[in-house]
Amino acid sequence: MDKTESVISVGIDIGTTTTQLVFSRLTLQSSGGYGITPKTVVSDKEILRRSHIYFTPLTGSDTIDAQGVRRIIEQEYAAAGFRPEMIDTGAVIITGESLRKSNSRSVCEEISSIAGDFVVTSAGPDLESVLAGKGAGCMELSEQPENLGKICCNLDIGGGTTNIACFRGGETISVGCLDIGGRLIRLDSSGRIIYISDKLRKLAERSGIMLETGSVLGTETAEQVCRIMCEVLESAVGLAPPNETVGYMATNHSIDVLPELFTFSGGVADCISSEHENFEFGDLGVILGRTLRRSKFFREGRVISAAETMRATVIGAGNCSIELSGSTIEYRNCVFPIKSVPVLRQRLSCAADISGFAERARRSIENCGALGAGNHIALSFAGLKNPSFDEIEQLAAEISSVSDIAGDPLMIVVEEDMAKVLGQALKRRIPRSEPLICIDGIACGDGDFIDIGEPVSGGRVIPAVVKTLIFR
Amino acid sequence: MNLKCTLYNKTFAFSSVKEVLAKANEPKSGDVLAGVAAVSAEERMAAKLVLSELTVKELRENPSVPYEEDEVTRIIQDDLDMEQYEKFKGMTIGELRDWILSYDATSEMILAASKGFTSEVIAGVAKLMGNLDLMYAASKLEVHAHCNTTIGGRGVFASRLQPNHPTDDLRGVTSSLFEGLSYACGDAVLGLNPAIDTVNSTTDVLKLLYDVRTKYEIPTQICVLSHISTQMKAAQAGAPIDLCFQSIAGSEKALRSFGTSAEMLGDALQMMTELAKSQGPDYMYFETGQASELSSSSHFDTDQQTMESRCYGLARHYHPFLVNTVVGFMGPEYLYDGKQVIRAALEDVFCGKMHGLPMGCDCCYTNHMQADQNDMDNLITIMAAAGCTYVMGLPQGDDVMLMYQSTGFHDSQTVREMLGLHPIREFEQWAEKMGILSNGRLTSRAGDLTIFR
Amino acid sequence: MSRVFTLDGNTDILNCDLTNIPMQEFSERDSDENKEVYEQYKKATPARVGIGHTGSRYHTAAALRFQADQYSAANAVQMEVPERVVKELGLFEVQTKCASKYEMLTRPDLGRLFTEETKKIISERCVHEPDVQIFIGDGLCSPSVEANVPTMYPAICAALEYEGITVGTPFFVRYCRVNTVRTVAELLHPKVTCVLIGERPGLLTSQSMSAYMAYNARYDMLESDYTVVSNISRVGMPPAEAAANIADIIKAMLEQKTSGYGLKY
Repeated sequence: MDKTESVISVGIDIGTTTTQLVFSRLTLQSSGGYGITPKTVVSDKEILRRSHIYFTPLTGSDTIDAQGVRRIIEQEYAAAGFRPEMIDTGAVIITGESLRKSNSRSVCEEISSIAGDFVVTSAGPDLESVLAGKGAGCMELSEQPENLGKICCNLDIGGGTTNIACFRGGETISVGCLDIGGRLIRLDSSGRIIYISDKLRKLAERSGIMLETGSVLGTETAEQVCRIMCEVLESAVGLAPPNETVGYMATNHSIDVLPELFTFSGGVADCISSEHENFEFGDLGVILGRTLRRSKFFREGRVISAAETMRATVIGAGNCSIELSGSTIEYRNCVFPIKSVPVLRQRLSCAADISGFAERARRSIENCGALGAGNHIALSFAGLKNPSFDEIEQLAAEISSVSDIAGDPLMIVVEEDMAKVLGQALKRRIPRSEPLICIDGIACGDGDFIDIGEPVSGGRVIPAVVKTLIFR
Repeated sequence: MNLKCTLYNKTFAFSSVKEVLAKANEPKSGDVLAGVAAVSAEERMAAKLVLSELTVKELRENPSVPYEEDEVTRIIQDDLDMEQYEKFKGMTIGELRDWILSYDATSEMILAASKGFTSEVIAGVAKLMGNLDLMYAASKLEVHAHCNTTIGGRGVFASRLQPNHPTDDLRGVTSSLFEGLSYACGDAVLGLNPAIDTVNSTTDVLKLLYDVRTKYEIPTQICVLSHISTQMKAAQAGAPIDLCFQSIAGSEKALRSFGTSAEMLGDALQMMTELAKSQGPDYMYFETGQASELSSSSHFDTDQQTMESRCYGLARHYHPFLVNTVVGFMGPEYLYDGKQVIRAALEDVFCGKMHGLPMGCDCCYTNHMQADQNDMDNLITIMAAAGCTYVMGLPQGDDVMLMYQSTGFHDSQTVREMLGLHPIREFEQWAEKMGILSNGRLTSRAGDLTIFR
Repeated sequence: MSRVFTLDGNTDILNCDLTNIPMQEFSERDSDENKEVYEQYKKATPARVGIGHTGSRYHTAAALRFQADQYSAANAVQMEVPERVVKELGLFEVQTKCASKYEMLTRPDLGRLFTEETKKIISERCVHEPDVQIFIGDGLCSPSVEANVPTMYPAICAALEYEGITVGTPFFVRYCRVNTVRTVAELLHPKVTCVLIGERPGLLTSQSMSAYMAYNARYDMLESDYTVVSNISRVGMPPAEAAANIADIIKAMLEQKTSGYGLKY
């Protein structure tokens, strides 16, 4: 028994340098059969349209031109033939240094209103790293049977940052971000430095290289600077001895594992394999790419070409952010989607945790202050591996006693396979008119936000997007 | 035609050849369930006696299912080598048994002659043989088939690597696959029984098996044992396929209950000659098992051993690369205990080889039978001695998807070492190159699934 | 002393209860080379991989573990469901025409039939024409009854009753085969008949249960008219969650007035 349906997903990436969109069709396949519990998975991801790559419009050094971005998006939707209401899911992310622009949050909100009701907003270097790694095909690489157990690492080298994500067996095991990129120095047509990032200037200074805006950057100096950046990357992934420059150049933190296989994505990845003039793009990208090709990554590591380079992040955002719940879940009287629900993680992983659940949940709800935008919170916990009926009844009693303050609808997100039985028990305890969502198979932690989409697969499965980082 | 005899001071009269064949069968719970078994040991002996005096012609002219009603009967009858049949038609089944066991009859002679025997004739001979007769006769017969490698022949004892997983998870499949390869298993085929019988899932697993076969340059063949129509759809959409599998049975009605037909099998073979990634010319893989007809009420009051033999009559029409009985899978209502399973396996391997097939055996049992792993230890050794072409290799013999037990990766190697047998030559050389086998023994590297990286 | 090497380090074979170690953690490998890769392979399947060899044979602990699991599975088939368990579940007990386990295993045809006297008992003690008739059968795995039914039965009933669906009088059938569903349906005429029955054990678990359900079950219904939820056990689908799923399936059957391949669920 093979049933498939498809959803349209959009990814929008507003990066330091570029803004791009990707429209995809995700095929959801439900398999099951005589006596087999049905299971729904994303079986195919087809990219319907890759947008042009636009320079991110800025109105000043510190502000994104929201109207400009809006125009790009409207134009691309029209070109792709999609209206916002036709989009089922997706993600807008503001990445790299753009995230640090003063109006990024309001830009995000503005875009969300025109991009589609299902589109979510999120950002943060760790999430970007994961999305880029997924979009570059590195996560899938780690799932390949012959790579079982190997740590696969994607380095997404963009204009301002290098997002690093490490996967093993299809799971993200470590992420990091360094302030290394192709556009940390920008040149005018005569080769004069018109911009240099502070951090890079100081890093170069340590090696005795003085860089100032207004001065001409020679090829030799550029190569020296790129070698320095390369060495930081080599140290970060364990190809070179640990070096304190890694910590210095970290956007937030670096990775803490030793990868075996590497993929490269981002704009600079394109400069690794193809030949360009040294300063063709008015930045360090070309030379950085060439330096990487001669680096320890290629000499000592094993590099596998990425499925996507330039568009890895946006494809990751559009294709890979969605998770599907288990196929035995319970919900009623809800209007979907429900976006950006703050997650409150509760302790519940064994029967002994049941008593006192209500009290602990009440305290954490009260401590978290305001509920999410739509008066929402989601209570999340690990759950019980093999609960008895009595345990389910007790837990449902505990949960329903905080339903008055747990927002509307009452949302439970649990990892273990128990959502339907718990949901049914909750239904019996709260008034019939009150909405409820109880889903399993999705892990999320305290402080995460979750978007819950329209049920798919005949209503049996709920797609969700867990956003593990928020605006700082 | 004489269907009567006197024995133990009693007269036994049978009403049909079919009844004689059924009652001459060694005890099987399935024949009791079907209501066709001899009611006593005395009646069984009488039936054997009568059977021994029936001729090849009489058995041919009394097929278990009428020619007009059944495509399996038609294939068996129409495929007969009439020259051979004419030579042997006057021989009794007892005389035929004697001839097959005699020093005069060589493998070539028997296999040439057997082209003139219907499946009922071959089944009849088996019923007159003791277990050692079956082993001795089967071990005489040298049968070959070729796909990417040549299976069969003296001194070769191959294994199918069966890397089943409860949900066809590719990583889980790979674990068992690498584990089995690291014990030099899989020379017959790398063949998975899927939990999910869909084109997508079949394609995914075929690709995995194909990638592993090509990446590590393993001289073998691959197969996903989903329904034949699923495999055909996958192959037509470009999935790599070496062997096309189907479970078969001994009557048209039983084939229908498996959702297949003689025509479909023919179409599949034709398709394989065009689409297979393997060399051929033998592209098919069939599984059988006593009582599959009874379980779908399509046995036509025939005993299960005779119906099983008819499967081989059908199979030989398609010159398969692999055929094996899944002997103990059906449950205690058909084969009650280890003793019945061992008997059935011997009958099946003898009858299969008599049909010119490279016969293998899934030496197996379910947990509701009166059997345990010791019975399989016995059976695999018996099978190797009987010249059975291949057996199954699973992680410690436990199938975590189909929930039954078969033989383990270790077991085929143990039997090879004891009896001086070898994997298929090219595969053995590959295993030596990989450092898994040395002088016919496992090395210290063997059993380490991490060597495939 | 013989020791089992598990991924967590050495374990004492006499005191660890061998059969309680998940196969994914059961290992006889003593080399640390490629340990992470090895662990990933082990994690990916419950199959008995990575167990090493001595000569061409199994190590002692692996051989004993296999035998212990196989014994447990075979025993689960042969065991009787104790009367105590039937009583604790609050069920009355009847028996099919099979006189013994042996007969049940070799005569599946008798395992679905009742004597006239038994039919009378069922007919007298049970509510007739409920929406749903649920009964419990030992099937091929007696321990599955005690392991799963105490959680499943009340969970199914609570969910059905909340939906206003009437549940008939439950009972226990000894030497029960799946097709007893047909016989029970012809006696009590429920809309939906459901048997919770022990399924043939494998080595991974000897406590597994299935639910076979049919709308308007009859003697001459097709096998494909059954809707089945299988692999219910602590290592498969947890019994509580399975019960909730079964209740939903029954509800869908009543709404759609069909079961098996015709049911959209």
